[in-house]
Amino acid sequence: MAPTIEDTRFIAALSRHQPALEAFCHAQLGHRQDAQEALQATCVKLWEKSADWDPNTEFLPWAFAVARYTVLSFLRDRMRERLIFDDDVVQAMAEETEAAAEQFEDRREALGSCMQKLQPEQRDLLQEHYITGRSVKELASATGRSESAVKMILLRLREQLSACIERQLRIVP
Amino acid sequence: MNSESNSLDHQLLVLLHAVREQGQTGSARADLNELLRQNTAARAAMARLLVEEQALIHCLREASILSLLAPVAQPSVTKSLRAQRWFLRRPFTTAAAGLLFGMFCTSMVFGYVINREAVRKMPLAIFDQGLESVAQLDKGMPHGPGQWGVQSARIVSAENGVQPLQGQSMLRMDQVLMNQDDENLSSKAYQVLDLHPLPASTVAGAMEAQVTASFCAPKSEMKARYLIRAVALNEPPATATENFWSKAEDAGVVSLTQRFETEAGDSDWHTFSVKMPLPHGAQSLVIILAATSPKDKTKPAAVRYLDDVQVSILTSPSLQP
Repeated sequence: MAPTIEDTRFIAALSRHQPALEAFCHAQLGHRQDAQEALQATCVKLWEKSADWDPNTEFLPWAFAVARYTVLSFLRDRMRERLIFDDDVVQAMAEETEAAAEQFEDRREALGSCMQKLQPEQRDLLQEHYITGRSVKELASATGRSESAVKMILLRLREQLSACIERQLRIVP
Repeated sequence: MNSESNSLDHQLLVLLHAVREQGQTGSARADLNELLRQNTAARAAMARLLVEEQALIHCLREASILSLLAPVAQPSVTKSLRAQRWFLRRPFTTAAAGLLFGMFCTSMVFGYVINREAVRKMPLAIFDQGLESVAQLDKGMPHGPGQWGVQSARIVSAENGVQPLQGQSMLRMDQVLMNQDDENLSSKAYQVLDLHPLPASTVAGAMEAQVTASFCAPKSEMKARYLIRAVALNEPPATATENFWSKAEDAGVVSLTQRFETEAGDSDWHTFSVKMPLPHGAQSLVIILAATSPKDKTKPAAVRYLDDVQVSILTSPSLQP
């Protein structure tokens, strides 16, 4: 069955805002794998409820409301050992998280410029930690540095990138 | 961000890291949750930091997919930037990359392509944008891309109470005061950029070049004056700087100059930006960054600093032909 115009509009809106929704899930859960699972559950839920969305209204506030509910369900079902935030903290942070996730695209764009300033070995370290998922201990062993040194390098890189993002956002495009 | 928010960010990042390393057994998790319960600013900062972390994952994931799709790409800054542009311009390959993300349906993959097309800013590879290189700088206009040319300037580390804006070094620009009868000379930095990697259709369309640079003056009783100039040329970078000044004055050449000023006594870093439409067929972009000398020849020569130079190509739906 060919998709309807409404389906097409919904899919286009969902695709466009999917990175912001993933950022919302990540900021609510603080854990990359959990965020991806919560995002998938959110997308399925949004698809099920797609008839409720009025294409003449903004997509993201509606989608965030569904994502909030889905994240809380996810927290209830999840084994406790991996959670970073308590349920009440997740709920207390929801508004701030929505506000931050709305800016995801701007921050990602700014970060793209900031990352060009990093040395190749700094980018490699971030890649190994945040994408490959190697722990500080593993990175310390692989690079011949102490764990505290690797931890400090990662921390400084995050702070450096965060400050750079703020500077980039102050530049009028 | 002020120092208070920097300190809060630091505290949150340390706690978050400790929770991830210790899991449920350590005290960091309780400390982090308690801080977030009690402190509204901490909640906002935590949300922002985690959204930035997701953006970092997003950028790193893109780079990782690029390396899978283009195994010849080297990890140098220049090549990765070119690869990024390549990524933006090939929707079918991008769709293939989207598959690697494990999207849950083919429509999602298509949607990812739509999203990439909405990107508004493409950074151009600029040689040593942080002015960190210890290599010899060309005197005057550089002979080709991949080097800085300078007039009365040199790379230094922190001095005169000025810290580099980023990295360990910055460009010190010494103003040149000439004799009473001669014109004062400005200290300048030049670089020629190759626009050839941009697809012809892009350069021919409605695009803008944005040049951004940060300047700083040590505390002084004089206003500081700076200049950013961009010149687009319809010839390759290898020859673009030959007889440059006569070409730059040609009426057919697209060029933009903007002057900036900061107040006397202001010793902060200031970031300035100019935008210029890129003409059809432009192959090279020459950027000139200058600290201009005071017109009053009785004033003493001043020192200025330059750091963090960036060039981007701007495009948006409103700019599309």
